[in-house]
Amino acid sequence: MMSSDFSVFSTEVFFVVICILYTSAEDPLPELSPQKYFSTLQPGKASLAYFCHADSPSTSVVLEQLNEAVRPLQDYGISVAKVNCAKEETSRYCGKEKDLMKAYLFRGNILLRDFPTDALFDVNAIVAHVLFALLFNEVKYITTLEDLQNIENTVKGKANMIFSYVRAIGTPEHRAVMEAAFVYGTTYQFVLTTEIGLLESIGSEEIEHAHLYFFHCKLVSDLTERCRRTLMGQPLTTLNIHAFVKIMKAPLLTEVAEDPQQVSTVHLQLGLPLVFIVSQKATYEAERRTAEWVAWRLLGKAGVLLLLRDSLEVNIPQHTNVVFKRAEKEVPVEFLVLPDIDSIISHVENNMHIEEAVESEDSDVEDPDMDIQDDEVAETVYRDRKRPLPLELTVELTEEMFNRTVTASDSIVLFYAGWQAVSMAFLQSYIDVAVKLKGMSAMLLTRINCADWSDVCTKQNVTEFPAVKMYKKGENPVSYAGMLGTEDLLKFIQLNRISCPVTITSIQEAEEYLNGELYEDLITYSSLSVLGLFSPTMTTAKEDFTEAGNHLKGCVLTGIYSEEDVWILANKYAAALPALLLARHKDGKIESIPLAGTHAQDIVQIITDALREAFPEITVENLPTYFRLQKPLLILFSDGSVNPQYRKAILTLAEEKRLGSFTPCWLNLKNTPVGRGILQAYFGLLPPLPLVVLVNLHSSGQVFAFPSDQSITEQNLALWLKKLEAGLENHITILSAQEWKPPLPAYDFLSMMDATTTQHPTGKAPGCVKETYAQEIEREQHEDKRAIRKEPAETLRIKHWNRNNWFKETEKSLRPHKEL
Amino acid sequence: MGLSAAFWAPLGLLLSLALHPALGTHTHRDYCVLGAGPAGLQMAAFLHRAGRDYQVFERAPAPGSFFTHYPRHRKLISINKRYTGRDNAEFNLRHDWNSLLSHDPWLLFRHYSRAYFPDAGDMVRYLRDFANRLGLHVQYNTDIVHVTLEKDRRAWNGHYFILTNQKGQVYQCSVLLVATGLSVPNQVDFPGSEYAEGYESVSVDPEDFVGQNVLILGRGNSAFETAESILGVTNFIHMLSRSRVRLSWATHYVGDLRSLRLSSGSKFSKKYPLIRASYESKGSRGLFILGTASHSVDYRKSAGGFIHGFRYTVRAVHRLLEHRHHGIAWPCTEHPITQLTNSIIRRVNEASGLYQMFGVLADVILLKENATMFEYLEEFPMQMLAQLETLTGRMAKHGLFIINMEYGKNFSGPDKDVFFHDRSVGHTEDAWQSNFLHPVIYYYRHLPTEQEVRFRPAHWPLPRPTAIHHIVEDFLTDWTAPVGHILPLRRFLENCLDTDLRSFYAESCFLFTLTRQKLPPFCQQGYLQMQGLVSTKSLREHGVESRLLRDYATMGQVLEDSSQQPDDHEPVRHTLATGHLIQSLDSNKEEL
Repeated sequence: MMSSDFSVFSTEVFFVVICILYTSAEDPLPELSPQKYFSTLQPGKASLAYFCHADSPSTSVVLEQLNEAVRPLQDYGISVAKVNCAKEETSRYCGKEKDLMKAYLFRGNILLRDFPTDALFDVNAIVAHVLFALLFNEVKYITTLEDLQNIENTVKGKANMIFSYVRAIGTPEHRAVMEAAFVYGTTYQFVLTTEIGLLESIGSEEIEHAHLYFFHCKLVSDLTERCRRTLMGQPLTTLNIHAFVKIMKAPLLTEVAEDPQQVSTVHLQLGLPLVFIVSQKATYEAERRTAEWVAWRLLGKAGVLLLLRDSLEVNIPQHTNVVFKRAEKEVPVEFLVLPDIDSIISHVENNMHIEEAVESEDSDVEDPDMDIQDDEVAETVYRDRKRPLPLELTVELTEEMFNRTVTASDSIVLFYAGWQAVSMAFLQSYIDVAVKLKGMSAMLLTRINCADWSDVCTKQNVTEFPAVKMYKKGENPVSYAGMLGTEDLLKFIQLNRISCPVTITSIQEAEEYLNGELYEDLITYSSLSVLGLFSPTMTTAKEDFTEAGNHLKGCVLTGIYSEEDVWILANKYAAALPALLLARHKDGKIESIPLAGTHAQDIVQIITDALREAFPEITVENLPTYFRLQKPLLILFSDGSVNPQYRKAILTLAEEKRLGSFTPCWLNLKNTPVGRGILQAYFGLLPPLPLVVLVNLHSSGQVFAFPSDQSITEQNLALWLKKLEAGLENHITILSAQEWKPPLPAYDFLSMMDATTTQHPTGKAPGCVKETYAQEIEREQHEDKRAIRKEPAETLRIKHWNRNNWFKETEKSLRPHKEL
Repeated sequence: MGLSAAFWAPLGLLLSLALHPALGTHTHRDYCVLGAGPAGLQMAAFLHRAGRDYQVFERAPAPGSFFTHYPRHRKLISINKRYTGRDNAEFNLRHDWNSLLSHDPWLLFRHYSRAYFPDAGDMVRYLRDFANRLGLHVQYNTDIVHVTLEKDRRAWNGHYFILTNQKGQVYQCSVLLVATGLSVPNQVDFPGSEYAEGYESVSVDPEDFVGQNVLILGRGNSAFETAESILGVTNFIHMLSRSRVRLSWATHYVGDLRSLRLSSGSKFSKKYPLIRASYESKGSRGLFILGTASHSVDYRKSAGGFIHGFRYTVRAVHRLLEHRHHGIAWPCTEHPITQLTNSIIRRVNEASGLYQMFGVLADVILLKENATMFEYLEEFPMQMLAQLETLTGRMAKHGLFIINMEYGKNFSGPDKDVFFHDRSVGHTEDAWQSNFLHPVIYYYRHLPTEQEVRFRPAHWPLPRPTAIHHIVEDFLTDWTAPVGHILPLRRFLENCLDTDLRSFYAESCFLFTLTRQKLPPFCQQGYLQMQGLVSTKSLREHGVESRLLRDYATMGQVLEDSSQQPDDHEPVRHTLATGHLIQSLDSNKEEL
């Protein structure tokens, strides 16, 4: 554990750490006279002093950088001061000329080193140089391969070694290595070089970057044997090194006999995935060797565990030999059947992309940054805010204009709020509709910003944004209830060009309506035309149908025919009046449904059901309609349009009712690329297509894959489904049942407020704050057992913890003084 | 010559509780309102709109008689800012301190005066129009000289209020709403006080003070008003008072001097009647104090003693009465939880009642079961929080949020320099240290009890909540910054409710629907209801760039490419037994 390493170390090297008590967070660089300065020096305590003449400019680059270095150096117990060499009291450290000023590092009052100011060009350089000087014994600086081998030999069987190459002293990488050495210097032998040649000679590639190797020397017993090496893959930052060392410290291979979903190790907490090699009693030895081999290959990339299948309580799919668990909490484990070690390695490497990218980008972030937008809609709208939209295509309404406009012409009104991201995202689609309808529609497209005209919106009963309403002369306004996107809204507007239901006046017209000629341009928006047939006297039936038609406004074409000669149509389509004719334009089929005694609500249901297809192409837009059926989905994934044979096979099964309770559908990756994301979640890798999957969305969340070595035929499918229903098939994965929790914590203002008031508002004991600190430390000690957030939180705790520890140290060192 | 400027005095309400029976015939009214000043008319307007049986009694022949005489120098000290740069009518009321609330857009004070500090005559005209245009039932020239209680079990409150006017006419009222203001002058008594001239009768002609030395008692609004008018003609003006001059921008209390004009400032225990935070008298149920006299509830804290404050408290009283006597629950809107952040952001940005009556009226959000829906109640008297359920008829069983506006704890106080260094807070993390008026949201898992409200921590407007959030102050009171204001609020709400309140595009919801058993509220309440939010090309590109969205089209490409590599044996295709894997692993090892 880091904590123990550190406390041992800090007591050894820096005896007293007091600075934190003396200097608060905002303390700038203290300015002292030489005499004053030397009187503040304490035995064993390191201090960096910059000597300059009192009359020199107070804001030189060096001073600025020193100022910034005050905090970081304080964290290592090193105080920083600016010493003014006044004329009357000079010191030998005061240079003779103004431009020959130097900084000096003391421990107690012993001078350790002096630094020319040009070495202290920035904070990184200052911290790196100072720590380098202080850790002279802990970090060996070498220049030749021989040096390296000598050190390697001395530590073999005793300790592990951390060897790093940085391009130059004083670089950020150098600082990172030194900071790591500060923490781990007593546990590991640190070796540092700036020689490219040395790096080349140990066989590194891409030598333009800094490198850090972990030499596993402790395991080596035979001096002739070389230490195994692990190269750190991430850029050299303090955080990355810390994480890397932690992983190196973790056991190479762990045996577990619990549900992989529940297992958590240090790897997961550091954002690395876990690989479980499934083992059985009979073949345990072989699998253990395999696992060890994999573990070495994946060291630093993933944690490897041996999963003892025989003592496992949960069931895992039969043929699984590898279980893969991603670092992301919410992702379910993947049960894999992999042929060899290389596929395990490549599977891990292929699934690490996101993780790596995030790591490298966030290396500077210190806290879990709650101020970083994680709402995709808010962020994208914000990023797109400067792109001009052709807003002039829609009329912006004000309170005065509103009533005048909506009563004067048929209009669509978008109610939005300028500050609300969802509104503004939808506004883009709305403008797209306006572009598409430009000069073609009699409907006036308008919008009103409810952030300005909230009264108008409230009067129109709009209290949530965005909302769309259609105002037509002589009719009640209709609220749009479809998808907030261009296509659905366009469909709504187009279908509303005619009344719903539209009155058909002749047999001729009715025929044209049914075969799609009457409203040719609207057929693209409604694949179904509904015609209600009534004799003129059936008033209640007509009313019910009209009500249903009104309800379906903008969704589907509805018409009504109730002339005296309606019987001609009734006879032709073998319908008993009142009846519904459903004309499907795709296949030109016309179906009739008797309507006697059916209420409006039921008519709506009949038509909605009719809108569903037997074997639909599932899309982002239509999934909810099929999802509502609450049945498992049988999805055929296809890259491009579906093979007619497969279609026929599935349709036949559906017609023969052999699909049981499943909803068959297919997904075209060309139209719905997000399908790839789904496949990845099911299979880990993108499997070859086409592929049939059964997803039990509503009950167990189990996913089953139709064996890809079988062809998709009626018989095979039917057999597979039968086995499935009999429980003879194993699922490939289970969908995560994870709840949607807050993505990040919120600011805890309550405790911030408590911290400032001496008295706790509720009158509780003031020990409350201490208590949380104690908990914090305790938590730190148990951290490996708990699944916690990755790096950001980790860093936060490191910082926190350091503070506490120093605080304790300080207390200890102050106690004797108090007694005096 | 002296001048008593403190003209406010203890309430002159003569409420004798003699229980002698009512005489002869009398007229019954459900609601009787005393006084046709701003508060009385405001109450009448609400009762009228609700179709209630009510009557207003006014001693004078016209409404707003106070303003025909006061302020003596005719200039009102309430601002009439006609142009705010905003179109939002509700927001604009924040800068209109004279209008009463009504549904008639013509009854806004900006149609009556162009002046920033309008003339009192305009107020008289405005109040007359307000009563006439709305057709309020006001009986003028009626001086209620006697009020008694008559016990009666059938009465709403167990008793009727019997009102007798100067002609001996008797009215029986179920509820009595007193809006008579505080118009009795404060009598001073000290040696020489006989030379003092009261504010109510002092000459307003500066000529009368030419070349004189004037001592003004009091340093309130009336004193300064008088001083200003005679400043040019006198030798000396001395001002004397018990307390230091308090400037309203230092105390953020509008009753203190604004721009060196205005205020009251004596012990209010004498001056104001004892009433509850619901504005009901502590002594007699059914008796409510409205308007200036109700200022004891928020004296020296908020604007309840002024038109721009009490127009909202009157509305609150009306809502309480509607529930108590007519079974009409406190009005609210119900929304899905995905609208939670929006509802709060909307209100804090436009609400005027919250802004004017900060610390007194607060919005309340009541969560429904499982926190999938919530009810939003506006401007509830927050000190009555414990009694919320009985007073409003709304249930608070599943947790609640309170939205209040607050100044920082460091801001106020007459001694403090409000322009002190670092007074504004720019970082969301430091929002709780905001000094200017800013929204504060309290979260309670359970409705606080009366005890908890009464024994709340000092300087806290409410009991200690489960969690609290401050929205960082903004000089323009514009709390709509995506990262500065909305994001931290969302995180707070998410953590209170333990859910994810982010919004998602339909494509993301589609992916979640097919790859997870649970969906975030936004997808459940939007996408699955077939109201998903479709992204546009441009937004998608930004999403990919920000790494919040993935480009699935190219993701396929990458994988397809890799599957074309010669070494790849389509790993998933061959389903091998575990033993097979071991064999191949072993052979691998040998090779290595």
